[in-house]
Amino acid sequence: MATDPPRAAEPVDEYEREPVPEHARLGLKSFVGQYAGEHIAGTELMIGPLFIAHGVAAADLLGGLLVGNLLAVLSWVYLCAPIATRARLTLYYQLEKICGRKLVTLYNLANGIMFCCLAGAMVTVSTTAVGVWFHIDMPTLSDWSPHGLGWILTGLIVGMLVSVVAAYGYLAVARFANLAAPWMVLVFVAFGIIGLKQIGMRSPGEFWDLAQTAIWKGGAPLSGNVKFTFWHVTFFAWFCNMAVHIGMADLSVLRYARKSGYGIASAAGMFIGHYMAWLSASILYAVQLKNDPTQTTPLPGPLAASACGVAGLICVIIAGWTTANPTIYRAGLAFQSIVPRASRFKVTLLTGMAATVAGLFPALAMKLLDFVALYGLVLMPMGAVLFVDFWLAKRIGFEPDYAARYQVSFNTAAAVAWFVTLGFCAWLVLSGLTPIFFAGLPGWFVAALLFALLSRFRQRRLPALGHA
Amino acid sequence: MKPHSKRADVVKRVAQIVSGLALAGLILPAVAFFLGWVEWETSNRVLLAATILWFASAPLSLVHGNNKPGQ
Repeated sequence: MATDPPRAAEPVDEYEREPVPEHARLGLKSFVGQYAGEHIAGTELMIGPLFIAHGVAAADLLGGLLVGNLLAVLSWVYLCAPIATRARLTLYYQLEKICGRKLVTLYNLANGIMFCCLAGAMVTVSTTAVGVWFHIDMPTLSDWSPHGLGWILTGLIVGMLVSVVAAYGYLAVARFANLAAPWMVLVFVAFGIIGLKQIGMRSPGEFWDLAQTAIWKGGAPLSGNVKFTFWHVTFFAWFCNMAVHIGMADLSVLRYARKSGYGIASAAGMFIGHYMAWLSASILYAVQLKNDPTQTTPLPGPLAASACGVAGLICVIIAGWTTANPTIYRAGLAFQSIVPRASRFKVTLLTGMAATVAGLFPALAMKLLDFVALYGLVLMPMGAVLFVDFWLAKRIGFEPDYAARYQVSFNTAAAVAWFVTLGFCAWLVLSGLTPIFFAGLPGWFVAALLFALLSRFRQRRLPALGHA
Repeated sequence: MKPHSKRADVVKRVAQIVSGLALAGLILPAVAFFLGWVEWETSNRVLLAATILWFASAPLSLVHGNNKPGQ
């Protein structure tokens, strides 16, 4: 699963409210490295097995991931990067110019809560690895609430350590994460190779047969999970990072790109982290089910240990820790923008504690596919608002950057587009018309249409102004 | 070239070779296990040794740091 990289924040607040100048722009290699590193995280070990829990068949998974990841890359290339390299501003500053300070504060609150839950899932993943050493009683696939004293104590210790480090040593961990990235990628490759041997493969030629009969067998999903088809996999792979490509959060990263085409660098992250790593993790879970069909809980720690021993456990702990760290930090930044006077240290620490408490609830990790889909869905409408404002405003007949031009702190058109879209998507999902994984696609068009219509209607009587 | 910078270059070069070997040490035992050449326990021991080697050598071999957007 995509995690937010250890990118711009307190230590280096560069070009937060101005376009990135030419001398600060970077080449393609920088982006390939960043995307490859940030999209391989501890949560990949949770997501891979959940595909099997959803009863996916081999062709559906391999094909769906190929198409879905390709669509995700195209979203970076054609939706996010062109705006990033033209405006060269952060998402937050661009949204502030369109939506006004108050609405952006609300967006930050939603963003912070989502980051907090995501960091909680990463704490859960690390706890499963530490738990292997201390032989604690682990939660099962159907557990929602904290599971036993051992689990709670281990989770609290892991979460508190991550929180304190995030509050104190953000940059050190960010550097360590960059250092660990190549090692982590190869450990995931080793997971896959060893897992294939453990499932009974003797030569590469046997792969497809085993894939269909022993790994991704299809059939009924495990209890409490919906059946996954090619389309579920495609849309999940496409939309699991919806907040950063269609939702435009990566404007903050790609604004440094010399050329718009550098959005293609995201392919490194998608096809290493969201293809190879998910398949490897999935294979390990298939081995677990083969050895003990009653053991249906996908626990990253035991899964990694069964393939790579201590090195595998270290990988899970480091993967969970290095990705929870920037996620907690960024959640803290989002919350701090709401109370700017509060100490960043205290806010980060409190955010980490909230993430720790969230991580004690295994439901967050066991239902990670649904949570990740929700995360993208909640933030996506603002990406649609930004897209319409940037490309279509003048063609449709309204002024872009409404809040900055007319000095308003709350753009009602953007707010209505956001909330009504969320209501529409909630209705689609709750009424059973569509699973949550698909709701983002119609939702984007609803948000774009509403914002365009409401902005045109709202601005029709306003005096024309020059450029803000 | 100053003596200390020459020494730093040598250290970096050696560290690059060691970290390269460490990365190879992550894949080769897995492949060897797949081919049935080594036992699972042996493969795991080499993986752990390669992990230690990587974290000991990589900070020296990547001494110029990162050039990543937004950092």
